[in-house]
Amino acid sequence: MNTLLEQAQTLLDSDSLSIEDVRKLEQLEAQASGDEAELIAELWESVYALADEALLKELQDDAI
Amino acid sequence: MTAHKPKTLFIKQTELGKTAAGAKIAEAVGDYLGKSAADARYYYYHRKASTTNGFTAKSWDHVVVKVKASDKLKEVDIQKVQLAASEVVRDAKNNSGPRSWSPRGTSGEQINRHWSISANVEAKAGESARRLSTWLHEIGHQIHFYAGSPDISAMGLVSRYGATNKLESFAEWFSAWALARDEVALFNPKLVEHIEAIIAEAIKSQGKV
Repeated sequence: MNTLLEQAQTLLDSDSLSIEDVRKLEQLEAQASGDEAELIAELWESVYALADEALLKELQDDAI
Repeated sequence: MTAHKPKTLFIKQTELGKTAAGAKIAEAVGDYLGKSAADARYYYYHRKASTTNGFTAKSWDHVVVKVKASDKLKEVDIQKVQLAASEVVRDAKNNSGPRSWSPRGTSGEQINRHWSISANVEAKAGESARRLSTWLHEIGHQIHFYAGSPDISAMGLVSRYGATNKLESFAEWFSAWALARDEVALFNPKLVEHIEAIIAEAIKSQGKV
């Protein structure tokens, strides 16, 4: 069974991200605790790096 | 840096959120980025203000680094920063970093790495020093975008954060190269050539692909 961190990193191992991926990352972060939650939180940096303009707008408008 | 001139915003946590403090700097940020004050907020808001250290996006020509009012960048000991980055690379070469995992798609091979260059820089050189390594990581993303985001992950893994995807792989290696080039050469001399070729490609590039 993959850890929540492994699941989060797998989610982001892509050339593009969808709104569903971002929602799933939110869920994984919410399920995690302690050190693992802190590491998953740091992965949001990669969400911004991967996001296309449409997804970035959704993120910045808090529409997700 | 001269070819594309990415800008840097050093922003405090309270200003990253949708707060009065954030609204207060919108005009100054807009002036700096060449945007209207109304639009500027979009370019430094972060929905996870409390946990982010920095961020950038492919469609932006700037990077954001979170800072504290108490940061003292002038007092950062650059030698300590370089030693911390060197340690991450050396431990990657020896597969002796503090975090262990078995990557997907392998038959139980155990990988041992530090979490990130910046996490070790903060641990060894302090929180203000982390602003420098975070800035290098984010600038690394912009260079990578201009070079067409080639995948160098097959050349080795410097940190667990760098295992996330090809973007983080390059940003972590770029920070390592900037702070500990000799150690990266010991890890893999071809990697140094590759990173420098990507930087050269980014300089020549007319835009992000």
